[in-house]
Amino acid sequence: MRESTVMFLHYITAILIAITGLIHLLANNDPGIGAVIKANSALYFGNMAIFLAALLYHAFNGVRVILIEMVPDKCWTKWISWAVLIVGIVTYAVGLQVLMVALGFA
Amino acid sequence: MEAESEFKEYYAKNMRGISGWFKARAYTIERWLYAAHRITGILIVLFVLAHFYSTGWHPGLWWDALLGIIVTFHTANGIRLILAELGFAVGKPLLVKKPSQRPVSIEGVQRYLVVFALVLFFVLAAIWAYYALVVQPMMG
Ligand code: HEM
Repeated sequence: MRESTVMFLHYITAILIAITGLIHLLANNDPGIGAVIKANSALYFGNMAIFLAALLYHAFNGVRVILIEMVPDKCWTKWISWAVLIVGIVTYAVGLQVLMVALGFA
Repeated sequence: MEAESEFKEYYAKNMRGISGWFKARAYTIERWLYAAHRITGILIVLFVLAHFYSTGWHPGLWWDALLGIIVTFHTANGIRLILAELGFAVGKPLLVKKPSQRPVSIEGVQRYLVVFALVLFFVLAAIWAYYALVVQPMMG
């Protein structure tokens, strides 16, 4: 993927994090609104699935950007990018599993 | 070949590594905000990893309020960065002729965006602190 596309997605995921993260915070910290969100487990799970995906992309790409800036070498850039991608996907799979078990979906 | 030497020059300029983030001479406020953005980004990643590892982990009370400061800064400044990086409110490019002359890209609307981001940061951090220090202890 072109670097400009990767960064564009970095900003899109940032906006997604702001929205889904707010829902996540309200669900767990506001007694009133939290009860409404948690009563709808499909909404809670859907929000978490999007939040987790966006957050992992943004966090791991953020770390990648910092690393490839500190080690400016074509070969290293390639390996760092692959490593970050694989670790990110595995983390998402494990995270979804944990969520589904916690919500009683699996 | 031309391109390659330019590439090498670019790499050479980056040799300061992390200490370069704090090479503060002639920094504009935007450059300081960017350094803070990077540091808060790294800190949030560290929190998130702990939050995943022991699912739902939180540092608690005052530390949660501090976490709020870190996250709300990154969010408020991030919104400003997204606007700037997508080209909104950047202004027309202008040839900078003197070292003392500021590029238009950080004048005008950009300055209002900085103020907007900082105000948003304070408001969000206050709301977060209220939840961390007042609402959470009541929820038990
Ligand atoms: C609330 C929403 C958020 C917004 C609006 C936001 C915005 C941004 C933006 C615009 C950048 C790009 C800076 C650049 O390279 O030009 C960025 C970088 C970054 N963000 Fe976020 N972010 C958010 C949440 C998060 C979260 C939750 C994390 C951690 C899990 C995070 C970690 C990072 C990291 C590590 C970087 C890289 C810093 C760098 O390139 O210097 N961000 N963020």
